[in-house]
Amino acid sequence: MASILYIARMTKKLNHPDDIGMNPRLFPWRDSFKAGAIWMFLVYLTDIPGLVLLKHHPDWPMLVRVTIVLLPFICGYLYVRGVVRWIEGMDELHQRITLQSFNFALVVYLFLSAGWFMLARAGVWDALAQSTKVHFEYVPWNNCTFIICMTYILFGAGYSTLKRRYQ
Amino acid sequence: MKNKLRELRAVKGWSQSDLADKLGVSRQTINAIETEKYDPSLPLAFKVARLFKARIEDIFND
Repeated sequence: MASILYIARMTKKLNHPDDIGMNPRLFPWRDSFKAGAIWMFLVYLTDIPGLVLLKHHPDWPMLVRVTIVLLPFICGYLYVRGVVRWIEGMDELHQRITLQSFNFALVVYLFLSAGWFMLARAGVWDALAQSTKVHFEYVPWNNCTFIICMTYILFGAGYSTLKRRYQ
Repeated sequence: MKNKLRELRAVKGWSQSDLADKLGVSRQTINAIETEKYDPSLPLAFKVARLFKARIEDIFND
């Protein structure tokens, strides 16, 4: 029994950040699902439609409205849990690179959002909207879909830079 | 941190992939350790030492 467990452990495929991506021809869905992709898609499916529903049905009961708002948040929590388990299945080098990339993504996101609010307070986005019709004042920094998309993009940027350090 | 992993691996005639499989890590990790771009954790250093039947300080030194 111990030897079976040992063999099972030794043949268990390690998770790798290069195994996940958006193109299903290049990246098998199974690996993406291991990284919590199904929860990420559920966040997308529940977040924006939920906001549209709430906007068009302000008369719905409070319990329904709270459920609609919390659904993407719960899916987001399960997505983060899936990502944490996916990272735990990596070897130590890739754990380090992935965690550093997530740290990079979170710090850049915080700086971008803080900078955006400072510029908004200075009236830059209103002035820009009046002169160029580009509406940066509507960037949804507190939206689950936007947070996950931005984190994913920033993680990719951080990962592609950081992995070169160890090659 | 300097190490003798490449020499020890060559003596055994193992490829980086062989060593990676024996240690339960990826080939990139072995490459990063051998090129001294990454210092292994203490548990991994112990695994390496046990595998080559040597002391940690005989394989890794600053």
